[in-house]
Parts: sequence; C-alpha cells; structure tokens
Amino acid sequence: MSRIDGLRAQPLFRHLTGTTGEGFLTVVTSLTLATLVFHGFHHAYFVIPFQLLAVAFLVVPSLQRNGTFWFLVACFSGAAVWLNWAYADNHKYLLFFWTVVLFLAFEQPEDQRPGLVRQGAHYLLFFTMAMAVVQKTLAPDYLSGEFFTFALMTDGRFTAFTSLVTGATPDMLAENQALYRQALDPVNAGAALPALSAGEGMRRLASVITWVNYLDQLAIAVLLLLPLTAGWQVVKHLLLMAFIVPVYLIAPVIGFGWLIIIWGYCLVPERIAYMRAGYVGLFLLLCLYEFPWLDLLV
Amino acid sequence: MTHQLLRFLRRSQPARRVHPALWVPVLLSVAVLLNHFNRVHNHGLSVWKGGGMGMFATQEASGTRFVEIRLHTSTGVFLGSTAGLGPSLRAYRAEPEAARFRALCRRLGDLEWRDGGRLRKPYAGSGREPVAVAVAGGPGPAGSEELAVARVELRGWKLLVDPGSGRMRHRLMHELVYRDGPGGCHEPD
Repeated sequence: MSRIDGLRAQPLFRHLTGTTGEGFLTVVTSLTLATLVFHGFHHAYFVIPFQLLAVAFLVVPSLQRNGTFWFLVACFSGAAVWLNWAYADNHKYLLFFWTVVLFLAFEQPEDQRPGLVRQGAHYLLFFTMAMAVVQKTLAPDYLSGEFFTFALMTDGRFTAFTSLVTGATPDMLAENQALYRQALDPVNAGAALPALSAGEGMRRLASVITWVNYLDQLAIAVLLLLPLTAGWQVVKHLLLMAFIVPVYLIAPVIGFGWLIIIWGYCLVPERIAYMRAGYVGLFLLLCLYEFPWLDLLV
Repeated sequence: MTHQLLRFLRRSQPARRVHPALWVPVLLSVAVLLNHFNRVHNHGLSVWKGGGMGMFATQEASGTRFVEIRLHTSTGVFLGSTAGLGPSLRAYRAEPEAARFRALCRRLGDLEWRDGGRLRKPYAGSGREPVAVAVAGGPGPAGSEELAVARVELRGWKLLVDPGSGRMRHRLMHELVYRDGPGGCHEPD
C-alpha cells in the first residue's frame, strides 16, 4: 500500500473527506455552524436565539442532523436579513439561503440528503459566481480597472499587497487613506479636496487584479454549468481554490470565504473525494488570514 | 469541432434530476435578486448590499455616502455627531433615496443635543475654521448642558473619486432643514 493509499485509509482522513457513512453531512453541518457562530448575523433577533440553539447542539450533537433545528436557524437568519435588508452584506443573504438548503435537506429521507445538499451548494455557488460576473460587467467602473485603482488607493486592506507588488511606499498609501477618510468627514463636506496619489504601477496592478478576478469567476461559473469528467472536475476545483486563496488573503471577508469553501467541499465528486481535504485545509487557512500577515512583509 | 464537443459531453457525468425542494432556495434567491436590481435602478441601492453580488464591482458603496448635520443654536453653529442616527443612517447610506432621507430628518426631532466639548478640524487646505461638535442622546461631558437648537441643517453627500487623476469631489444628494414645530422637516429656503 503506498503512502497516499495509507493516508486515504486513515479514519480521520476518511471522516474529513466525507467518505465514511455520516462524515460528509457531519463535516458540512459542522463547518456551517462554525460560520454561523464566528461570522454569522449581528442582529439581536439572531444572536440571542442562536446562542440557545448552539448550546442545545453542544449538549445534544445529534441536533446537527435535525430538520427542526435547521428550520429554527433558517428562521432567525432570515429575520436578521429581513430586518437589515437594505444594508446587510450580500454574503449574509447567501448564508441565509444555505441554512434554508440544510433545513430542506434534513426534512428529506436519509438517502436523499447528500444529493440535495450538493445540488443546493451547486446552485448557490453558480448563482454567486454568475451574478458577480454579471454585476461586474454592468458596473461602469469595473472592467476599465477604475474600481480596483480606487480600491488600491483608498482601502487599507490592500496596503501591504500594493506596497509589496508595486513598490509604493506604505507612507504614501497611508497618506492616501488618511486624505480619503478626511474627505468622508462631514466637517469637510462641500470643501475643495486634495487629490490622491496613484502611480502607473498601481494602475497596472489594478488592471491585472480586475481581469484575473473576472475571468476566474467567469471560468468557475461556466464549469459549474457543464457536466464534467473527473479531469475537468479537478480543474474546476483548482480554479475555485485559486480564487479563494488570494482573494481572502487580501480582503479577509472570512464568513464569505468559508461559505464558498463549504460549497466547494460539497461539490467534490466521490471519485476525487481526496480533494475535500484541500477545502478543509482552506477553511483552517482562512482562520489564519485574520492575522495581518502581509503587514509583516512591508 | 461539433463531434469533439459531443464526445466530450457523452463522456461526462450524466445530468441528475433536480430535487423538487431545491426550488425553494432558487425562487427565494431569484426574488431577492429581482428586488435588488429594482432597488438599484430605481432607488439608488448600492450594489454591495441588498442581496445582489456586486461586491468589489464598483466604488458606489455605502461607505462613500455620508450625512452632514449642522446645528444652529444660540451659542453658535455645531457639527452634529451622526452616532445617534443608528439604523436610519445605515439604511440611508445603503439606499440614499428621498424617503429615507426624510425619515432620517424626522429622527433628528427625537434627539437632544449637548456640547461635545471638542472641536473638529477640517482639512488643512480647505480654508475653513474648526467647528464645535455636538453629541446626541445621553449625558455629555461634565458640565455640558442641553443645546437650544433653533434649526438643524441636514445634507446627504456622496464622495466621488476619479481614479485616473486621483481627484476627489463631493456631490450633494439631499438637503433638508429641521425646525421644532408642525411639519418638522422642510426643503431649505
């Protein structure tokens, strides 16, 4: 038996890759609960009841596979989104839709649950990528690179990355961000404002990020539409991982990243189940992303 | 080419029947998306919010919108802190339409203002003088009394950045004046 075969035979590996009887749904629901606990909804109509549900789950772990449990989670998630509908982040909607999928799945006979979870993940991932491509195409300042030039100039999350790649000094970028924050201060409303600095390097980097991000999302959306061989499935999942790794390093919206990872995990077919271990690894990697690693290099 | 495409598709995994229950999240997400597009085109909702997938697509985000509150009192003009406006402000910044702005203005009528005991300095090159800050709700700094506010000017602004030149400018979106008494919020004279 080769080392790889030995690894695949390990009970923990089999559990994490969902190749044991209950492993698949256990991993999916556990990762979803982690997302709800650490990056869930902030409204009191969710936070307080979900604490009760989370404690109930810890005391009675089998609730993780109970339709009523997920129905309650979906209801409180929906309430939080409904009450904040105009200013809830878009990935909160996606998290709510996912809790609805899990509720519906656990209301089905046991043999139908994995299939519905996979179909739900497939639809939501396609919806996310396809609509992102549509809205980036429709936006007046995306494909020209103007949006990412703006982001690199003003968003502190891009400082370390921009400085590393373009050589722009952190002081210059910090000054841009300070001027931008001043421009948003009501005391300066209507006043003449200073100009921000943006070198040619920043514009080129913005153009690269614009098209890499756009084409990656387009490719993922197209591959999700097509029936694929195992080889193309591997390509699809590598593209998705290639999307997740850099995007959430630079813009650490961890809850959103975790959701995409969960969907990716669900979509790995049994023939290449070992790739699910990659998604579990990415889930843990995104925990580490909350530390400002790039700042150490600048 | 067609032959190769057909051979590729035939070798691929067979399509599975869609589970009927899947229609629930599908219809839900499509309904939310249609509402999102409607609100974006007709009410100015930011594509970053409201159930679409427009994050990191445009600089038209709620973070580029802000409100200015100027309080005219017997002791001078104060800049009102927006901390007391809560969800009304978040909703206006996400979807800066007239009805939400008016709701924000009416919210001002519920607020009591006190001298915040500090000055807010404008941008150095603006040529403007520092402005005293007023805070709403709760006790202010020690010794601060409630301000007698004769008039409140409320303005909603959008910050626009031209990435090509780096130039920034403000665009006034809405403006109302609040006075105690019947009506409350009015268009400026």
